[in-house]
Amino acid sequence: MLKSLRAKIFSSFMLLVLMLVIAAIMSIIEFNKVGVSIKNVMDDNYKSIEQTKNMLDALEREDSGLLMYLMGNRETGSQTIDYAYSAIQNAIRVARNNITEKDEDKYIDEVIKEYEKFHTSVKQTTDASERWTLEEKNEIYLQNQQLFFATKKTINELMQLNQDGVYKQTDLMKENSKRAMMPAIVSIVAAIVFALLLNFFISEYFINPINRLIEGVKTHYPEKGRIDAKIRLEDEIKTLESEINNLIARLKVK
Amino acid sequence: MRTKVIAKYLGYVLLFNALFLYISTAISFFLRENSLTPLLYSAVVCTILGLFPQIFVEKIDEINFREGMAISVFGWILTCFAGAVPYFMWGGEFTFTNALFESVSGYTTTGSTILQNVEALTKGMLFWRSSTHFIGGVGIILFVLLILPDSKGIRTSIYRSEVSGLSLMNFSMRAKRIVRIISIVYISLTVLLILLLWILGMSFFDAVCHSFATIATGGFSTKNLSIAYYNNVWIEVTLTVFMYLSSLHFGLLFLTFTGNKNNIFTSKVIKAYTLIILIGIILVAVDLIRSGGYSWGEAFRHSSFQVVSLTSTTGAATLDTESWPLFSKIILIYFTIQCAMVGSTGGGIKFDRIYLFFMSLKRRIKLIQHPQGIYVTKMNNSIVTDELELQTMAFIILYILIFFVVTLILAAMNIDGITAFTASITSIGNVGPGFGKISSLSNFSGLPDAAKYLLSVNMLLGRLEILNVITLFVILIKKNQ
Repeated sequence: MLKSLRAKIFSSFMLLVLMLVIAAIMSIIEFNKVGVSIKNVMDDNYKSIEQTKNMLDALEREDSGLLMYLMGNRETGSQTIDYAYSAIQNAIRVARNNITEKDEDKYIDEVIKEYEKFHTSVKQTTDASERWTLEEKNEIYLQNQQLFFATKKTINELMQLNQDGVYKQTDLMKENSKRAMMPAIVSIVAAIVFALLLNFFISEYFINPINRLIEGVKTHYPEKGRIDAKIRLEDEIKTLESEINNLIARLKVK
Repeated sequence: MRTKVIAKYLGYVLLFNALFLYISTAISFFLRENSLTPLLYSAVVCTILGLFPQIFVEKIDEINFREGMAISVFGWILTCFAGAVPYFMWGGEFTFTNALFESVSGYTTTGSTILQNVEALTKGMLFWRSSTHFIGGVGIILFVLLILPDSKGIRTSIYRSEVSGLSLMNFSMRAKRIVRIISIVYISLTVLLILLLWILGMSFFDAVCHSFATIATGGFSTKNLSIAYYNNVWIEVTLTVFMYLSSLHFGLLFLTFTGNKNNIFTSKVIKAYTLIILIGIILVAVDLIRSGGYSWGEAFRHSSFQVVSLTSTTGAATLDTESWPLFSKIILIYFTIQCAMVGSTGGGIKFDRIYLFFMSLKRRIKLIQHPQGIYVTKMNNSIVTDELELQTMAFIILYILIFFVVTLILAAMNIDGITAFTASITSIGNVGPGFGKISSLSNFSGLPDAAKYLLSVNMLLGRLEILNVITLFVILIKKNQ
């Protein structure tokens, strides 16, 4: 226990300030986490989703290129296939450098594996340079279609993984923003408790002794001798009581 | 009653809680968990509000019984609210109601949970959850008494308001020594169990948490499947032995280990208690075998664990007893009512009171037969005073009355009969699981908020042994009048 009233008041307010400062720091840290979550969603998951969309787009083009080739427009078809191949490779490279979810690299490996099968089959068709009948063309196209759908499925799975990641990050953001508010809510309640306690202690250790001292001075008469305001602590109010008693003693001597 | 004295000691209670919150914070900090902020800020708030009264209130030389009682009752209420803060701040499944329920359940060592997925909690939060058992097991007030400097009358006043008169019958020592003995036994059993569980294959963290829960007879687990998760017979046997030891009078345990004549092997009450547990185990095992699906070994394995778990008020589970036959369920409900012994960490009516009830009944029958005769009620060769006998009877009647009223209110909330009945019994007895929707591997999340508040009050009433709370509030009401 502190003896001086000044120290008591100062320490009380310092405790309150400390609590509020820590609450503010923690809220800042938690809000910062919300910011990081937003950055994760925008920069990482969304980037990966964009790349899977590019992959799907390029895959569709490669399929169209094959169709053009089979329909007789061989030059444009080959060009479209080559362009699509380069676009997919580019998208895969970006996605590989932007792993954000657990096991995402395995999903990308699966995309590469399936796409390689599809592209090899397409290239074998275009490199053959044969004249096919309509039935043969149908047969070739259907075979490639199966590989096309298998590749598309793996790309969709990769997209789903990143979309789930977005939802997860959104939930995390919601949770973090709630946590960021919590120190403030708890501080408000704690500050109310603190204020009630402070009110009680001020009344117990400041107001009541002063009132007793006032009452003592009011009811004092010269024959009574000393004033006893029943102040047990060695604080400033006790000093005041002593000084009043000293004053009374000095006045008596005069 | 001096409010400043009560405020000073409630401050100590908060500071003691803060100590465990800092340990939990350290765990979250080193494991980089998202529970760091909730735990740290709760610790800071507890520290600041705990330190505040110490700035103003001078050294206290004496505390009267009423103040001791107020410190004890308000200390428990305050600690339950303080313990709910980290849960509430962390979020997840914890709404304010759920956080308070979990906190009350932890401190009162009931072990009922509202969590559907315990494993979603971080290690820091799991440690804090188990710590509430550890703090509440021996009683936060007793812990505070242990660390307080000795002053005339302080320990005795607070101690007598925290511990029932019946449990003091085995002690003829000063409060200071009793508090030390209880703490030594409590901490020794906890350390020993941590080592054994660790050796038997639990991770060190799980061993610590389960030891806190077992010695405090709480029941919180770090796994959704409780002890069933480990599926290890030796872990179950070890826990059964320690649950049994924790349900005995700690003073007698101490005297046994120190070679005193008055020990657990000479106590008639402990003999009767052990005999009833053995009968319960055999009856349940036979019923399980009769109903099919269990071999002899399996039946005894599960029946011994479940019977000891419920009678010790731990409430840990190796399987869902909801699927057991009705006869076994009724026996388990009996043990949920009977509970452990006085002077242990268990809650409920306590076996000693039931024993005293029958001894008293025997005396009354003799008095009816021979009205001029002089008969006394004895427990462990000590004469029980009429006042203590009367107090025990009043306690049993109040206990049954509260249990009945709570069941009635729960039923009025559209909770099915078996759930309402067992929820009321299990909460006032600080046991943990019941039957119906709150069976051993289920949880209390499905109950309405009002029911959770009611059960929280019930748990606190059970932990504070009812009479203390009622006496304090009668004193406060009369003072205001």
